[in-house]
Amino acid sequence: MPIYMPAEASITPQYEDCRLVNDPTWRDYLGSANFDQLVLAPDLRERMGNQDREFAARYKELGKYVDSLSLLEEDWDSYGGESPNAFAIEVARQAIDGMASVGVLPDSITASTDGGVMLEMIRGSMYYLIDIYNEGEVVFLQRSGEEDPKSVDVDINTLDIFSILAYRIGNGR
Amino acid sequence: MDGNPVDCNALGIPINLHSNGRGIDPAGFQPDHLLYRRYKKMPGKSHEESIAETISTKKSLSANWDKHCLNANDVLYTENGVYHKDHGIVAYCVEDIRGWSYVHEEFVFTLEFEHSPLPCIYPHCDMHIRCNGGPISGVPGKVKTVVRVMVAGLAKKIRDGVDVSLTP
Repeated sequence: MPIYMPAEASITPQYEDCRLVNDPTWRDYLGSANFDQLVLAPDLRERMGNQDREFAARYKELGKYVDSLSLLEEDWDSYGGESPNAFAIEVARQAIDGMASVGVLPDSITASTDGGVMLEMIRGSMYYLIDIYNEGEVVFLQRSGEEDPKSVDVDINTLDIFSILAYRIGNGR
Repeated sequence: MDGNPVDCNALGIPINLHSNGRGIDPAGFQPDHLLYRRYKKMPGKSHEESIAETISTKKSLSANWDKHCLNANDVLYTENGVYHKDHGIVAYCVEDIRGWSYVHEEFVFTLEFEHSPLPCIYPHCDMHIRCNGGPISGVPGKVKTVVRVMVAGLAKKIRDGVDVSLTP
């Protein structure tokens, strides 16, 4: 997985052959979205340029934090919560790297009582969650306002999640 | 401990929480009653956006019935006498729990709860997420995640926690 991408690097080419366009699962999920506009919004690149240092620092901080989750013991939440296993922590690391490569980072990362790691983001009225289960499932969820949340499975071999994040956030949705 | 109040005292648990041999409260729950839960606040974690990490589909969700608490802070005690002073507290309203359901394809999710007093924590209740009336099994992760987020959304924050270190 790529790590932090400098501001001058091109972001868009990663999505020229994006599976999202032809993947019926994603197509259903996105509804009537305009797939021809599957590029990052110009202002995102600008923001990345202006916030390089801050972004890189935050990226490092999150990486360290994910590593620290491996120190959690069983019952870490005082309710018998399972600690994240090596799989969940590794996928969380990959997720952060992938998100950084499209110019976004999670707002918060935490262990899940159900066993795993959760990465959350709020953008405007949208709530995004990447839910990584110890058992191997990876889920992307989004919620808007009072609407019921919607979720899809993520293929960790392709990590399509970053395509959709780039699309959603780049288009301010 | 078998409900022995002396043991509960030795654990440092306030006397108002001791069961003292009392069984399940036969009066039952009223719609405006609350169930308190504590949560551990992780560094960098927003209180406001989600407490979904506190929701388990595998285990019962422990809570304290407000009717038998002096105040919400009682839920910071565990039955082992640990007082989680840095934890935050959320509350679930009985009416909200009873009214909640989520249907996804063949799955119908509901919330059930019961008073299940512990020797030193009389207000203790168990809340369960049920699928088609039984335990959750064979439910895809993407559905479990939705359910956890929705159940978390029923909770109202009572007090913030304090950032806690992950390391001992």
